[in-house]
Amino acid sequence: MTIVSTLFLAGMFAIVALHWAVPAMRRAEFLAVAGIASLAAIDPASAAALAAVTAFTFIALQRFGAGLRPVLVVLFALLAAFVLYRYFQEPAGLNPRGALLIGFAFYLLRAVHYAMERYKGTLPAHGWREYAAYMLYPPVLLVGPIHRFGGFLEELRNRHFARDRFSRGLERILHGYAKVVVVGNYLVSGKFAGLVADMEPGAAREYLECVEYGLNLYFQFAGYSDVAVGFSLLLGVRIEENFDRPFLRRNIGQFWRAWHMSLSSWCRDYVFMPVAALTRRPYFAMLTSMAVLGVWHELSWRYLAWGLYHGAGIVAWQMWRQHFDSRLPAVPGRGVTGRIHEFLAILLTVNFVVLGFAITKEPDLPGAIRAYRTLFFGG
Amino acid sequence: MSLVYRALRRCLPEGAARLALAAWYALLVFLVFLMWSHAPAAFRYLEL
Repeated sequence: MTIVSTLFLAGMFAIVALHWAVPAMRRAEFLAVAGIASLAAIDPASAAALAAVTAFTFIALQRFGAGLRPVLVVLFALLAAFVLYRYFQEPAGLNPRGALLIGFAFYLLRAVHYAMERYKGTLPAHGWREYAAYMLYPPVLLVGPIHRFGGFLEELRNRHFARDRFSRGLERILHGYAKVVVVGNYLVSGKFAGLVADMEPGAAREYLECVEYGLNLYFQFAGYSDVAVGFSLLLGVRIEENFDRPFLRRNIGQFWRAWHMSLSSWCRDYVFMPVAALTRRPYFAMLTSMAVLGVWHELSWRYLAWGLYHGAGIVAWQMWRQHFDSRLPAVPGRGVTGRIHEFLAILLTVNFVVLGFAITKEPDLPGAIRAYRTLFFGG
Repeated sequence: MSLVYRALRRCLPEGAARLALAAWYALLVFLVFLMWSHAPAAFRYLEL
């Protein structure tokens, strides 16, 4: 299921229209029902998996309390479900068909967030209807963003129809579709990829393949996120953003605060912070956090390598900042020197990210090694 | 308020900014409509 279908558009606008027609006190239930019903219409197995994760997390925490042990049991069960799913998802695994549950990896992150915040006691008082509306919220079912329960609940309780929010939602949806259809599908994957494919094999072509992969990923994902944020604004709810001009960032730390922000902030809160608190080793915590971020995408060596590549990049940048930044003469923020410095910093960051795509654009790790050999040695 | 409109208002008077905004929306709708059925690119996040 992609957003580029008349079925998706019709479903989205039908949900919006019905949502505002339903009495205000029933809107949370309506969102939950609309979410599960629309998913069931596309793929009943995905709807069943989402319903199971939603019910299990809530009932287990309600029944056994949100103490350390019940939360650990819930987290372990969610992790086991994730690992099993990833195993069965692989076409070479036990299931030759390759099971695919729509958005499953995203529900699990939301469920873990809910369990962790219940444990920390930061969640406002709420009932199962609001929890169900959070987990089954239609705009984020396909690919996120991974929204947070506290902020969502506040928005849900205070929402009302506002013309300004509605028109901004429509604008975001239009911009999202333009990113996916015009830039991602047509310009990058169609025209640009065609030009790259016609080039002679070598370092330049390999590099441009990485650029094409990265641009396509960005425009597709940012477009989907725009549609999700816009769809949510039509429902009167503002949710987390996923991208904030990531390719204009001056260092890799800033990049990860601007690229798939809802996932990187999830990893910061639920992997980096606990590991840093337990080990008192922030660099180790950073590598662990980025490794988790990598294998969340796919349980494979290449995604582990990709996560560690970015983790090592962030650690190297932090070490540089800590040890050398104060010893070097300060670069003026404005003027020609400042602009050149900023341009070079952005160029370096973009190229670090682009070279990282050589790992994920290939089907396996040996392929990635071949890609690096071509990039740096021309063959 | 529309982000595009706010950006346009920085350099254009109100009437011209509204006209430019309408033209921008019309262009995007036209391009999206035109390329709607173009072969979709692979997007791996849909398989997560």
